[in-house]
Amino acid sequence: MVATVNVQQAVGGSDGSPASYNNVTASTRLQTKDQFAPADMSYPIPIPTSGFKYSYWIHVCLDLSGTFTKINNVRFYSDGSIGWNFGTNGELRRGNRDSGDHGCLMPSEYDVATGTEADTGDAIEDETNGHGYYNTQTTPTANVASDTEASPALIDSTDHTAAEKTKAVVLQCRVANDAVQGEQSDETLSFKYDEI
Amino acid sequence: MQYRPLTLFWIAEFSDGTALSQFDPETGEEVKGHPDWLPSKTDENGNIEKDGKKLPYREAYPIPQHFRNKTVKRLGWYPFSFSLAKRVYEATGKTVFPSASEPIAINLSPDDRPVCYRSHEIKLHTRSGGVEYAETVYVLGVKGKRVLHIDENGEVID
Repeated sequence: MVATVNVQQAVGGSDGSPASYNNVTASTRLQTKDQFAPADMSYPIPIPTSGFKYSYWIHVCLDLSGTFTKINNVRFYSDGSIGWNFGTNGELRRGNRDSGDHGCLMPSEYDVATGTEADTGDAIEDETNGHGYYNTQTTPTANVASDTEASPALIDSTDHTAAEKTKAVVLQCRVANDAVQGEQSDETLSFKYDEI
Repeated sequence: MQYRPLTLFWIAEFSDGTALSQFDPETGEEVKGHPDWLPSKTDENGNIEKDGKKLPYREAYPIPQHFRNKTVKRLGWYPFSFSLAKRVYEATGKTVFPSASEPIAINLSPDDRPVCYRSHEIKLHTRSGGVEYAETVYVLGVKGKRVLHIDENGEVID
């Protein structure tokens, strides 16, 4: 039978051990605090006077349950254009590996989001405070706008045959000094997976 | 509903004249599909990674009892009748959608390696909120040969 699949965001806890996995049922925000589905906009990403500000990164995975024989080939993509006003060289990015799956194995490679609340998250690629699964890669991030249905990011190629979580896509916003203030438009991000 | 209801199910016909349906026509109970029908990524030694462990493929996926000593000669995706949809719901608690679409099946040679699985899509809406279980694509073909992509209405789209 078709598996039951929830999209989940992991939050809090410590490296290798998220405090919670939360089913995404409402809006997903990229903000300057590590929290799930905030009802308000108390932690926006400020527009910097120079350089960049970052959101805290978020881990988003699929939670598999129910009856199925095999699930694999989890892909992630956008419609090819993220219509948010990031400013010059700003972007919605994801953690990127130089080879193999781009997803972060959960929970072992989970890296709790860090930064200065209400100011900026640490950049994924930061050598000291960045995401430990990505920050030593030659190309530690990729622009989500480049992940399209025709050329998606491969998040998890391994086989799943029982109730468990897939590898997670790690997302972060980067905002430049010429960004435009305000709540941004709705964007659709897609997961695909194969099942028998 | 945290899944996309099925609109098609598989039926395998064997060279000995018997057949196997994903859902028992009498009871609506499900039979699991053959794991070989969804290709796995293997490494240079022929091992796969399954549930976090590296294993030789056949050790990870023994041939299911109901496929042992059988050769599939024809395989296809078929629409649910109203009566079967009702039985499936009664047996599994899961909704499937009946339709009058045409079945799509392929003939197989003994050496063919069939491909038969579903490709599911989930859309995450960042601001308007929540997730959407989008259309399922049903895949059918032979590894190394033509593979069909079929929409929920039974139309070949690719």
